Amino acid sequence: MKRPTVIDDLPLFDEILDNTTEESKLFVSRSLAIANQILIVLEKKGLKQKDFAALLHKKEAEISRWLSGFHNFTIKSIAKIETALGERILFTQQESAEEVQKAVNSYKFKASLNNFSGVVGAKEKIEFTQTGRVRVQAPLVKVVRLPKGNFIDPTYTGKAG
Amino acid sequence: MFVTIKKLGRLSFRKVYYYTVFIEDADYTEFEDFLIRMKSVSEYGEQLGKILQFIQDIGEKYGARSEHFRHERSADALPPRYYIQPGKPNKYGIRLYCIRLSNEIVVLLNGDLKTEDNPEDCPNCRRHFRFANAVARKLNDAIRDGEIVLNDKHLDMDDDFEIAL
Repeated sequence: MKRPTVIDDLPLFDEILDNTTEESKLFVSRSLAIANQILIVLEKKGLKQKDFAALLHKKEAEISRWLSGFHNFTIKSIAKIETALGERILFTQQESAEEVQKAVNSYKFKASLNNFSGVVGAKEKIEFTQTGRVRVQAPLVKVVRLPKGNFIDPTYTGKAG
Repeated sequence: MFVTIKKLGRLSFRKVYYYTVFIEDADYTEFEDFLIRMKSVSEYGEQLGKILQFIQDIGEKYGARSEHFRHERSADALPPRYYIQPGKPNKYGIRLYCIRLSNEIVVLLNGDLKTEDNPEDCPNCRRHFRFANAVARKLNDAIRDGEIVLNDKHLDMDDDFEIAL
């Protein structure tokens, strides 16, 4: 089997993009981002475009236009979509930061170890009191098996010991 | 005429590899020819830029989902369906014909300023529309017969594979 030969350079592509206004480029990027977020939510909920159209009392052809990636969404349309899906599609930077903080604060872990400190998950370090129990508030994404068979229980939702 | 597939190194992104074709004895590949000719149509410069930004964003972030392409018989086209260009004398705008083989592989071809609703009636786009469909049929046959295998973002072809139109 063989593969196509490669043309490395395409300077005209970058030249044309560089000469395109930031507003035009951002319009495309934002529209695509919104369209793809809707598609992600639809897939998560097991909805097809026709189901989505029915929820919104719209024709499937109009929904198809929304999801193409070149659509100029209005705030009103976004509100209708978010209401129909029961999920936010669009967040401002401040709203995103608040959502992340809520998620971080909702995780509580119980560790039962004696005089052990280690690294769990991505970057969090656990420091233990003399009783060996501490509350860790961090968005850990997996349970890590630590040396000596100890572990972090991610299902713990009680108070710190 | 013989047509060979070329990979566009500059347009090899995280989620999509873009390819184009080279027609025997031509000066440029089909996509290069499209860029050269459309760049000179200053009135539609912004739309051309948007199409290229679209190609880049799909390539880098989202993948070539079928929702993002206009389906033109056996081939595809950009910009996607229902994009309306307000305030311009020609409501159809630029059309870039392409072939979406998978979420990871797109073959970019050629196009022009569309002046009629039916591409067969448009003197600018007719030949590009027909060429795209002819190549698309050949590629689909080759994939069906195992002469071309879609391997993630790569096209694996039989050593003696060629497109004869």
